[in-house]
Amino acid sequence: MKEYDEEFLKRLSDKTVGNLDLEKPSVGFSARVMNQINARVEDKSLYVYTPLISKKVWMIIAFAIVALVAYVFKENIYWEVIPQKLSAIDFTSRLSDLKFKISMPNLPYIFIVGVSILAFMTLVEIPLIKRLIEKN
Amino acid sequence: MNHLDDFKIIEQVLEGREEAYAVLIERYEQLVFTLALRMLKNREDAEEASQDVFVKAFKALNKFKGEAKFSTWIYRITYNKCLDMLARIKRQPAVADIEELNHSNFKEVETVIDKMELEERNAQIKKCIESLPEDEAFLITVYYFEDRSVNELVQITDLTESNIKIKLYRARKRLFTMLNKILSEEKKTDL
Repeated sequence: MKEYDEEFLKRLSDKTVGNLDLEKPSVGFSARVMNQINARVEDKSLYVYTPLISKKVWMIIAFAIVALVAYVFKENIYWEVIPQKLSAIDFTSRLSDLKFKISMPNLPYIFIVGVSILAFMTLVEIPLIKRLIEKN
Repeated sequence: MNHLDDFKIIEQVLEGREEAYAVLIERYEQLVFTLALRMLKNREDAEEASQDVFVKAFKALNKFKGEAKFSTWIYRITYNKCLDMLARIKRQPAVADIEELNHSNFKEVETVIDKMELEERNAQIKKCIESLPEDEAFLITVYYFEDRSVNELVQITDLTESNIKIKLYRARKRLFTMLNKILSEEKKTDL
């Protein structure tokens, strides 16, 4: 009996519910949704992440370092005489004394390890935080 | 064909042509709105929910893997959105008793329905669907507008196949119980 009922109700539903028209939202619905989406896209473009040091500047810094290293190797300069050589190309006359003026304080080993770990964590965390902000 | 076209449109949107998304909205706005209306029973709430559904779908478009049809995916978003809104509204619908319709008056209901004008019949059926419990109204609407597939309903709602079949049976029985009641009352007033 239940199977008959089910079959009957299904047949009646197919005949009636299957012929119904869909409801229409108010006029301009699509345009309103697109406006919301466009506003969101524009908002997002206002907050595009821009690095403090641009790619161009990084390239210049990298080029300067490579040039300096190449110069050192080419001239066969020993590291301890770099300040003298630099002073010879007249960056500054006091640079030759740099080696004597800058002296590292005698820091405890644990402090150096701690600072190194902190620096490492910061370098790892920055890209992670950046990605999280971008995702949100 | 729509399935394939939907993918092409999604690709265009993901490539940066956001305006192509309007095609998807126009393609699905009526069904999404109808589903929201069937569940929320209020045009303003349904329109708000439908807008949110399309904006949410746009935001998550890069997560759409294409394993299911876009329609299945957006109906799932609609279903969940409406459930969220219903939880917020906490409205208790008046539910018709499904035991009132019995085997003896089946034929009578069918004869009256057959005699009715199409427009009037559709209006009465719509009225009855709107009075169904939210989940039953949603299921019966998707079932009749989307290939009559129980499997698709499983993907949309996460309910089991047997649960959906029971809910569809209940929805049909409740629907014609209500219709029978309306028709009987009309008959009484005519006399």
